[in-house]
Amino acid sequence: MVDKKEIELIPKEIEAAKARESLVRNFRRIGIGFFLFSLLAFGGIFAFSWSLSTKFSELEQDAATEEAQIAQFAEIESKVLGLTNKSSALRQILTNRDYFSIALAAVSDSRPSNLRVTGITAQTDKNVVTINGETVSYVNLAAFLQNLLDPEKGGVLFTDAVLNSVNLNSAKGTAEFVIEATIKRDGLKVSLTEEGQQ
Amino acid sequence: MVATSLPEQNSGRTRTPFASFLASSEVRTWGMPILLIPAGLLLIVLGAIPTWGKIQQLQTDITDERDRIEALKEKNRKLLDFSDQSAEIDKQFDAFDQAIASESKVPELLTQVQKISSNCSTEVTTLQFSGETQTTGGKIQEVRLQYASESSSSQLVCLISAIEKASRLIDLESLRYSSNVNEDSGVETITAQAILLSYYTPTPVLLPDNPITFSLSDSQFLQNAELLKDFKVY
Repeated sequence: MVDKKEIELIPKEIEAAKARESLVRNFRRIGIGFFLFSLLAFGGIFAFSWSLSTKFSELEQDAATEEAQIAQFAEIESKVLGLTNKSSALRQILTNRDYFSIALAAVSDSRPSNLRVTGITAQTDKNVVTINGETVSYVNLAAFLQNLLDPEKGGVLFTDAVLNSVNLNSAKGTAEFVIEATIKRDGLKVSLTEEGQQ
Repeated sequence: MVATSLPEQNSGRTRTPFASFLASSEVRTWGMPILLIPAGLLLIVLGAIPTWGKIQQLQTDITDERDRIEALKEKNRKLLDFSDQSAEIDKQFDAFDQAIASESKVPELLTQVQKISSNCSTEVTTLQFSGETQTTGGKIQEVRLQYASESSSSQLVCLISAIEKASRLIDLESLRYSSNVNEDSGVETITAQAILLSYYTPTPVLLPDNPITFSLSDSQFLQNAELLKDFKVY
């Protein structure tokens, strides 16, 4: 038995050495293989990136050429853009414009003959027109208030007319009054088609 | 075993401990794969992954740049068309520029208001420039004037209508008038005060990437051009 053990020791050492050698060889292969794979992956990606960078540079040059051509038309471009802005501004201004002549006409149409309008105050951001006036007869004042809401007269513009104050001026023998007339929504505006027809 | 047992002497030269370490059989056996695997990892982590990110960005940039070139070509083509119609462009520009100037042109505006007042026989008592403001949209600048005049009632109506029909657009921001009757002559005098607003659009800043959407045959533009014909030049 002792002799057998001594004989078996030699192959085991050789087997162990072979196994170790095989392990080392595989480990080396894996190491080299992984490194080569990494190198190839990096190289491929880098080459692709470089080709894309070159393509992008070429496109930038093309864009610069187009820009240079556009710059040659600077004068006409300025006029075209100016026209675009002015055309849209014109529409915006005319659409938002308050035509105070409508208010003057509405008050004038509503005024009875013996009543004098001594003042008007109107503002674009307010929907109320303040009308000052004087009359010798309260009947005229009542008619004026009625006319301001008459659809044939002031009613085309006003939705409400409130008498704010009436003072008798005994020296002149007249009643001085202040009326606040409410303008209907967009009452002072004119549609662009009407504007063209006016 | 010989190499490790004789570290100090080799062919008559003295070895350093590091050289001895490198010469050791363990390093010779395991050294290369142990170095190559981290080196490969470093290549991937520090080289390949960031470059891949850059590639994706480049691909997006290339697509954007191609679209931009297409837009620039389209703009070039339109500008070339417009340059062939430069006479019509100039004519339309002049017409619109009269309504909405490219600068504030305050003296010209004051002159126009004076002329309108003279046409309606109203006597201007105050006419002064009171500043500029920018509208909320940003493209239109407002020029504000303070105005006061004396006239008759019919002259005031004439003035307001004329202002609303003036070639350079003028809006009334507010209107206030009061009338006084001369007790001796019985003549009524209307004193009117108004804040007038006129407009201008500053010369546009030219940027290559700004597209051109304008067309001379656009129906809205033609309608706007038609509106201008109704305004009176002073």
